[in-house]
Amino acid sequence: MAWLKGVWTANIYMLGKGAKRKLDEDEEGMEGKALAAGAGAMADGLSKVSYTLQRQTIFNMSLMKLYNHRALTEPSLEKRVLINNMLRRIQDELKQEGNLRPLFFSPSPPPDDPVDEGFREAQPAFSVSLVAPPLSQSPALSSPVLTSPSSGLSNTAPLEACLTPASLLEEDSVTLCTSPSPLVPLPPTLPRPPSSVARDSFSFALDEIEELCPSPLPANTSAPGATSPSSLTVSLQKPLCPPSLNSGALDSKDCSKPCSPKLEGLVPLPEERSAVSNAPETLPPNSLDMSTSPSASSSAFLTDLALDDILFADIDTSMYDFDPCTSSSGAAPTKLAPMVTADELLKTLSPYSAAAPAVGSNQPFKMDLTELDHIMEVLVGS
Amino acid sequence: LAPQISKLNSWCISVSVAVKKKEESDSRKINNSFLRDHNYATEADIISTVEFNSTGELLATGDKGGRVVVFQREQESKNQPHRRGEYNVYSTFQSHEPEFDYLKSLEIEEKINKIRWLPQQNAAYFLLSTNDKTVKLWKISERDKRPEGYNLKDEDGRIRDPATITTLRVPVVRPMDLMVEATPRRVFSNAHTYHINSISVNSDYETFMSTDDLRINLWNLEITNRSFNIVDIKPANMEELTEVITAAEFHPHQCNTFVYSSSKGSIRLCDMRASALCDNHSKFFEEPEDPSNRSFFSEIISSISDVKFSHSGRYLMTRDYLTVKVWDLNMESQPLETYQVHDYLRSKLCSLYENDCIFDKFECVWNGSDSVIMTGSYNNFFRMFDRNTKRDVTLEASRENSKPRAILKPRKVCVGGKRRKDEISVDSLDFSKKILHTAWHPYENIIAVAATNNLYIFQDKVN
Repeated sequence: MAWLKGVWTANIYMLGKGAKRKLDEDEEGMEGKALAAGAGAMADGLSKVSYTLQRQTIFNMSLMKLYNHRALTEPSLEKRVLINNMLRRIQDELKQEGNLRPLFFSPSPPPDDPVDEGFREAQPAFSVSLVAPPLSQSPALSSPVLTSPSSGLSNTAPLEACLTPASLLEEDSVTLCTSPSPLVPLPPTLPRPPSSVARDSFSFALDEIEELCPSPLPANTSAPGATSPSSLTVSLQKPLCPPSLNSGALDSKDCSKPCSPKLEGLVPLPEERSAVSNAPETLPPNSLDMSTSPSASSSAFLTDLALDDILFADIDTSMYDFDPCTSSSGAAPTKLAPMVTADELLKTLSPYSAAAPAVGSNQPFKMDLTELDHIMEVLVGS
Repeated sequence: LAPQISKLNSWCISVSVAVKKKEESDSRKINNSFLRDHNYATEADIISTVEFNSTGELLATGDKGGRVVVFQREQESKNQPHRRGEYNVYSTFQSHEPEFDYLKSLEIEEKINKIRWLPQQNAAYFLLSTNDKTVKLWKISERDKRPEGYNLKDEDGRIRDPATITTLRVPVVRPMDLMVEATPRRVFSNAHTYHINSISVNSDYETFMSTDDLRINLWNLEITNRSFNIVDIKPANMEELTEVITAAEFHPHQCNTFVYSSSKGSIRLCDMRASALCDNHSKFFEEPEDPSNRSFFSEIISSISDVKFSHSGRYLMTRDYLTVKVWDLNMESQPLETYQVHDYLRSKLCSLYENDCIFDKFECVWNGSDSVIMTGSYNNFFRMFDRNTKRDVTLEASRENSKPRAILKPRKVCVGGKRRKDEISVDSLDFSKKILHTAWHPYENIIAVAATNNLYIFQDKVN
């Protein structure tokens, strides 16, 4: 794994460079208490930063060890158990600190990973940052960051599946993208680090969504029925993230079809879930406990995260079926406004729409149908 | 009683041998001169286990290629008193072959994980050798006579034409060149789902146990088609697995008692009389964690890589990544003694985790009188601790520093900034040169140290 060593030295260098920046960012962000405590807490902040940095490093190292192992013989169970325990401990710590990064994951290891009697490593319910894929995968990264497990990139499927959804990457800019995450691959050999690729495409996409969808869709407001996104924002604990990004998150989720070329990765979200149950079939037949463990593991981890309920529960897949943006007419924005404010958004989002829920809820439905016909014609026509 | 070590720094090298791959199986002697210059180490030649037999006359090594090489100590002769009992190759045989697990599409390594000798009961020698899945009982016997003068076949073994036989003769037994042959007498297989890490012969000399990551099985030496599971820590849901068994050993005198160690740094002593399945321990040895030393790697470095009873049966020795501990069987709360093997690595744990060195499994051994303990380290260093004087020494097993009969020079690793002339700094240590396997003669001060593919045998010069 010479390349890993190469990456490592580069990362250490970058870590050295980046730490200072991170400290500034962190003081404003998660480590807000350092600021509040005053200058005396600067030292605390520093050690905290190095602690979180080290923890993140070790977490990602552990992931690499578990998933990059390509041995002819069975890997040592003791080693896997120890690495797994390490991952779990870090996860628990992160959970306690509230640094939960929700993302979906493949509950099963790569299909060609021989597992021993069904022992599956603790699938990370979340990862703190991107995991560097092997260099050979770099071309694939220009496409969306998230892929379903059925993609051909089998040996990086779990890695990519552990990647943070792009929407949250934006919010995590404090800790993820500014920190020279130790997993950014060697610069010379890659066109761009994957995180920035993702950022570029997604931030661009989100900007587009911003234009398309009217701005009065603030996500982090205290609408009465607003359980989902408010808990989303609460658990993310990003007080200084611009609200537009949060709305962007939800917008991207719901408007993913309008911006499908750029946000393909998010579309498989619901499909990812159904792919979970298919996981046993993709695994080698020799793992005896296979049939029980994937669903067991996925359910175990899914129940751990309340966010998963938010992400998956209320998605109305019908939202993904029509594509108002494909209408070539530029009259999209005004027409789209009622489209986007569908039931969930009305319920969960802004007081703006809550002002006239009764009226607003009926209108979109009627318009939905006519619009749907219109859209279908357009789609069929194109 | 074994002689006491008067000085720890009087070790000298007696013979250094290389285990070469293409050795003839019946050669008894190899040249006692130094190794031919091998700049590379063939993977298959890496020594994976070293063990003296109960008298110290024989020394067995197993390697990654599944071979076993047995050395025998020369009888001391009055003519050459300086060649005081050196070890020569006695027998070489292929114990295990690589196999393929078709169910899991995985190779089963032929690497010999452990060798344990049986006590000698007749002219032949018996040893158990194991790889990840199968234990084999080998009989090593000498043949130095053969019958000659058969009537029905000639000296080459060809059948003689009865028409040509005119006289009858009585076959006589004549001496021949000594031939040492190894034959597999028992194969104990299909009892382990996980990788076997230990075997231990019981003091009753009738049974032995084999240990994998999650289970311990008890066998009768005569019966290969049946084994009894005595410990099973496999959880119902493998997702909940957080601890595995790392080593196990029978008590040297009490045939009902054994211990097993775990990856969480605990040792359990079990009594087979209590129940058929010894999932409930009789004693539980664990040292509470030192909060000042807590790190991300606390659990990993607490994983016990080897556990050995003292010859007396009173004490237990365990090896984890950074320390060796001696426990009194009567005190479960904490070890009696703790020895730092290479504490300077404590600040390097992250790098050692990255290059997987943190998972290296070092073994530890007692000397014959249980007064000195020995274990290996990196850079081909190995350490000895005198329990009585509390002195310790670091020695190096390397060809450059070892001429025949030369006394080994103590080595020192410098931790701080100022490095003295003969010291080596932590950053210069070669982590690919690790001494994982060592053995100590049961009575005398002779040690065997395996350094990758080289075997070093050192003797105490004090005479």
